[in-house]
Amino acid sequence: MALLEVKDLTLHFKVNEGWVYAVEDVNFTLESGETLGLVGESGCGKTTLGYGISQLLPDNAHVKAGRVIFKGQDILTPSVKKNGTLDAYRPEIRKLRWKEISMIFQGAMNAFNPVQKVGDQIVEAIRTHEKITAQEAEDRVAELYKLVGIPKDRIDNYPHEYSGGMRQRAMIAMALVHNPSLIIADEPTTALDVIMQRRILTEIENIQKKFSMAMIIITHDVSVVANVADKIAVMYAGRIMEYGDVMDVFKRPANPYTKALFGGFPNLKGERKRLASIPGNPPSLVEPPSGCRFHPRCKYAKEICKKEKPPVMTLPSGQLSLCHFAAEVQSGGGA
Amino acid sequence: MAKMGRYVAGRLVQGLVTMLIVTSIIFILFEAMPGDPLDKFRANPATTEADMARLERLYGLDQPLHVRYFRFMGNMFTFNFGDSYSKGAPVSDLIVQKAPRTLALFGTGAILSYILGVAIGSYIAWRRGGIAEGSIITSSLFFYNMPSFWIGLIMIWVFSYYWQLFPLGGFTGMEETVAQFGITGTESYAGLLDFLWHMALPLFVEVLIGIAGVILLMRTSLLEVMREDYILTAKAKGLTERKVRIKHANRNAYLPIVTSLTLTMASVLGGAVIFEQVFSYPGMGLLYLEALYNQDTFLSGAILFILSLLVIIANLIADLLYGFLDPRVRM
Amino acid sequence: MVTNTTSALKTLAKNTWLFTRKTLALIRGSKLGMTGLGIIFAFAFMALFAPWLAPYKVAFVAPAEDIFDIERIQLDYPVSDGYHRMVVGPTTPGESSMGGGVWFILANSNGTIIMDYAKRASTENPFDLGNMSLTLDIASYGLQPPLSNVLYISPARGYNSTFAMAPTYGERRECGLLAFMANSTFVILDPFKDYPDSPILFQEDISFAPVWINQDTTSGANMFNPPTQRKITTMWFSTLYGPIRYINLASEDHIITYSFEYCWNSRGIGDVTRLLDKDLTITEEPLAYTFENSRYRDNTTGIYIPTGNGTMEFYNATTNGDPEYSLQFNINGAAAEFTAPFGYFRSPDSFPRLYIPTAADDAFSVAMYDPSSRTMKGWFNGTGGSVEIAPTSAVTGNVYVTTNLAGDGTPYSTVERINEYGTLDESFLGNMETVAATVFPVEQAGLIYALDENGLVWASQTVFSVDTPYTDRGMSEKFSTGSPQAQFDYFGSFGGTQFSTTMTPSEMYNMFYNPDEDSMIIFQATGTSLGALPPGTYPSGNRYYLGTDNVGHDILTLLIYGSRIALFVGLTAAFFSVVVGTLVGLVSGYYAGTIDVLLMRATDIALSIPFLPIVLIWSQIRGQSIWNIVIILTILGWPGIARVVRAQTMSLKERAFIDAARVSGSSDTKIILKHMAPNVLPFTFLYMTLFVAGAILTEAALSYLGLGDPKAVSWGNMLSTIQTSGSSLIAPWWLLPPGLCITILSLGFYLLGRGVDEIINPRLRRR
Repeated sequence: MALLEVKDLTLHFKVNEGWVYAVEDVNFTLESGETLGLVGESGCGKTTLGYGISQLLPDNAHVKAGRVIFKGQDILTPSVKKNGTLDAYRPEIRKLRWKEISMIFQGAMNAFNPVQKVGDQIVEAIRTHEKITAQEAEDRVAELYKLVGIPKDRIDNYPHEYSGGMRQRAMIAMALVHNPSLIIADEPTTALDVIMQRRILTEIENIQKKFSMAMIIITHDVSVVANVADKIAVMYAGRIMEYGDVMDVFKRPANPYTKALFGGFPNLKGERKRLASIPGNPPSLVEPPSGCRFHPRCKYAKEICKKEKPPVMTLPSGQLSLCHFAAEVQSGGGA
Repeated sequence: MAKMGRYVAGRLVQGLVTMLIVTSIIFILFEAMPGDPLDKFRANPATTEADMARLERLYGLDQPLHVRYFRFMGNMFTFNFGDSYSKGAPVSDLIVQKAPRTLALFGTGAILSYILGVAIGSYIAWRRGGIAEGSIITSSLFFYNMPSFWIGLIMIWVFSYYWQLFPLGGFTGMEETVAQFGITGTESYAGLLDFLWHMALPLFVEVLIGIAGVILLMRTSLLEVMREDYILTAKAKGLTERKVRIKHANRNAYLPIVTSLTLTMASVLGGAVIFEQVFSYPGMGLLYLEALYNQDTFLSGAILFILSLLVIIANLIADLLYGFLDPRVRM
Repeated sequence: MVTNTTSALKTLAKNTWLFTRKTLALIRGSKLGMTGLGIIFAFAFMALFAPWLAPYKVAFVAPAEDIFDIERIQLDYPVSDGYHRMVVGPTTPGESSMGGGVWFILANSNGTIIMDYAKRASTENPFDLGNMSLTLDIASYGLQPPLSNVLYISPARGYNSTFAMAPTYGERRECGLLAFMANSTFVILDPFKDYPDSPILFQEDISFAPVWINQDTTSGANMFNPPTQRKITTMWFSTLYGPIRYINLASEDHIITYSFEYCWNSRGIGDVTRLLDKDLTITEEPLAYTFENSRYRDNTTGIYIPTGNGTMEFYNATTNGDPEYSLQFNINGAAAEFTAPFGYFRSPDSFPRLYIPTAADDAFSVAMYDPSSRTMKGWFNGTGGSVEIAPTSAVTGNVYVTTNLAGDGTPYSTVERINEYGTLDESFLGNMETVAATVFPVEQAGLIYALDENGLVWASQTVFSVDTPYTDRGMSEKFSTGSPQAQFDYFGSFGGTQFSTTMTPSEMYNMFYNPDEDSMIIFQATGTSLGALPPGTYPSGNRYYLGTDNVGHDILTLLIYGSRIALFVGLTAAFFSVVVGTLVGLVSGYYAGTIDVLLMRATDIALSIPFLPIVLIWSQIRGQSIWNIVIILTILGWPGIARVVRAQTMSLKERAFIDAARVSGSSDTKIILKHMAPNVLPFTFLYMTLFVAGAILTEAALSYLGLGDPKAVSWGNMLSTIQTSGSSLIAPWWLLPPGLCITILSLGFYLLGRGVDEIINPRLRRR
């Protein structure tokens, strides 16, 4: 049984101007120990999707459709209230949070409560789910700090006394306290310099292998995904455009968007090519384009792309692509 | 904790320096006032020679400016305030008698406003939308911008005149209390009841006005805090809503509230002057007005000094509280 | 350097303007901001267009008929019986608190006399309380019609063994005497004596037909002092005596003056002697003047007779039929003629005065004569008209002289106020459009009345406030009595006195009696002040949408004009605060160092000083004016703004573009003005709006305490007046609107500030 199965998930936000169609018809699965990279430009809905798994969404989020099946149980449907919003503090989901599904937040700049000691906040994460003494909890914190490389005497410091990198590592330590089955990491490396990035990524990989944790990495940095992910899901305008094995998608993209995206990264080794960027801007999720949401910027677009939502095409290489002309795109023609 | 100690010491010194400067300003103001404060004493036939000599020595009015200044500062800081000619009593006695009343009213009022205001503000910030939020915010906006004496007059009209639930003013008045409650006046609780009943309406109005600003501020502060990442972290850790709200959100939202306490303390105590006038509440504010009206400079100067001192002490407490709440300032 | 600064300033100005426009556009997206702006515009509109919006002018005071409750009582009489002028008989002259009342006496030629008694104790109809009416027929006393010239001789104040006891007037109801002519018989009669007691106390046939019959001023209750019994003590005994009454019967060539002693009924009237009985050319009504004042030798009591050739002769009890002296009145060398009865001063507390109107050719002159020193104190001269009504004077030494003038064909009267030396008081204007027949001031009520020849009653205040324009002064028509023969008079109070030092204006009543109609109407001269009036329409036809205050100002008018002060103080104080605060904050944040430290100290101090008490002292030192309020608000306000600006400046200083500017060689001033200032402006603006809200509240508080400009029309002053007049508990229409306006305007600025805050801080926007 897969650890996590997301089926037809559709999430919309209610705002003053109407609705934001943030996530549409998302499907993917995740096995134990697997790493999924969730990739896309800013505002494509990947953060919403990632956070939506443990239902960490704001009050105006409406679940329009879909299920989230974790370890065989649908954890989403029972949380959905009559009007479509989420009951965000349901005891069952709270029990799952952090114990089974923990998070590593972006930047960690503000992810810690500034008026509480860091150690206390980690202890809080522990003792919310386990009845152990404060001393035992502190000992565990010390162990984890050792693991991530923070000196033990820093446990009683406040967040503003930590450096940026130290904060990030503390964040990681906190995410690990219960050995969760799934860690969702939101841009874990964005605020860091390249060297630190390398270190963190290696650490994460080690930990993952050691504890066989599944991970979803949300990032716009494709190179990170290429390094650590097993699977990749590329999102655009709320939809998953392409989903599959990371190497397949990378080497043989079957979706115009994916193709354009990977074309934007300079290859040090390959021949010198002009940097291809995607013309145009990501669409507003309040009034998204009709049919295929990428069609205004797509160089393969045809009439049908404007009119009809593209089907999910399964490609011989195994990945899934949301495009009318997936096969042709993969084979490189039809432009 | 050493950091805390340093913070406290720093604030104390600051407070002292401010007090010195404020007292100097008081000195300048009173020098600028026309007339000689001792004239009134001279004119009063009841003042004896000995009294005049004592007062003259105390204030050294015939001395050059710098001598007067140091005398004045010395007198003020040793609480040596001289006599009030209009009341015929030493100023310190008057202040000691009246100050507790003012403090009782405004201290209690401030504490109540903040506690209630924080609770209400936090409630409406969490339950966004709905009639409660709209009506509470609107009425808070109105009460926040109302002149305190006006709402005082209206409340007196409604509660003391129309419905006759409360006395028209004053601090104690056993006859009124007896008449209102049908007691004899000799019960053991009679004195306390008398006092509480007279203080009830001004306290109510005081809290009504004070609460408005706190509600608005707490709500704003909480809305900002709720957007912060660490709230999401707390939620993600599986904490109950209550824990997230109180331990993480409120705890951070208090900070601007404490800062505002500092800002409003001066105006609240200053407003005592008007407020006590409206309710005929015989505290320091009313005494100050009478002193000014009678040109009783010793009395008014002393009250000004004490009021400033109170403000500075309150600000000090607020600063210390802030230091306790927010570790970032202790650096 | 200079040009750089100028151009930098220009850029700053342009940036400010652009920013304002941008902000206004953005505010449109904020509901709070728009509401706030809307409120502010509404009040600004109100302030600018106040003269057109306000229903009345600023200095408007509701007319007397609105703010005074004027009690009116009507008494009906049978018309056909042809009654003469009404005679009023106060039973306790000089003291309205003695328990006395008033007799209203009507008589007709047939010999019927009707007397109605009225007195006041509470709000009952005074005639009901008086509860006594008499009807007399002189025929029943053996007297013959025609009956004419009825006089009421008021009772005297009895002397008690010690003056500590209250003086008595007998029963204070059935006291006083009547005197009249029955055919050719002069009669003094006690109307309260019944058959078989003879009511006639004196009667005598006189052989000529008198034109004028009057009594001395004190007996006629026309003086402040009542007739008073005296005590004469000799070595062996003491006796009560007097007072002496004088009654003149005069024609143009003969005069008889009767004198007798009368206190009240119980003592009868003693012997009636003739003080005067002589032939004399008499050109105007003679005056029997009794001036009772312990301070002056009583050399003023006596009969003053205007004779021919401008000569006045004075007779008293000592001279046995010869004048004690005579006085010649000339104008421009020629003998003047007397044109009206003499006026006289009624108050006992100072000098006796007679006012003698004379005229010769086109000129007239009223002489101010002191009968005690027998000297002239002054003259009031004029041309083109004549004084035909006795000059009237009561309390203050001012005398009202009515001149009938021939104006381009249409004659009219002017009432003028003259002081005791004959100098005209220019501040009083009493022009009428018609000719006056009777004029009397009710000085203690601050009013003066005139009845014109057509039966119209005119009135005017006697005291005007300095702001009243001259065009609003003057006599104005009040009502019509219905007939030129009507009688309109002031009769005093229902307590039984006409003139008294202790009467209040609400005790003063006028009456008019129209012999052609069937009723007499008594009404209060000023009435009882109603205090603050609730909203509504009032007798004058005026509508007061929000009512009036206790003086009679229209609340709505005050409210509209009050917006001016509120906005002025708020905006100027805020503006100056912001300018000073921003400059200091910019400099302090940019340069840091010593300036910064000083600034932080200043801010701390400003926060530590209890605000209001300091402002109170400031007002004591500097005086009460709007500008002083603005100054002190600025002084106390700039540190707050400076602090915020400083914080913002300091964070801006670190930004890259500042470094770039510095590297490229911009001067400090230029950097501050061109780069930092525009970025700081949003915060400045925010704080300015919040400050205006606070300033408005502070001005209100100061005015409430009485420290604002007392002459200014401000909402705070309105609230102050309501408290000092004691109306705060009873006039909600006065209490609520100013406070509501203060709240709403302050709220407007606050909302605007919040709107701007939302723009700067998008996190606060609702999703």
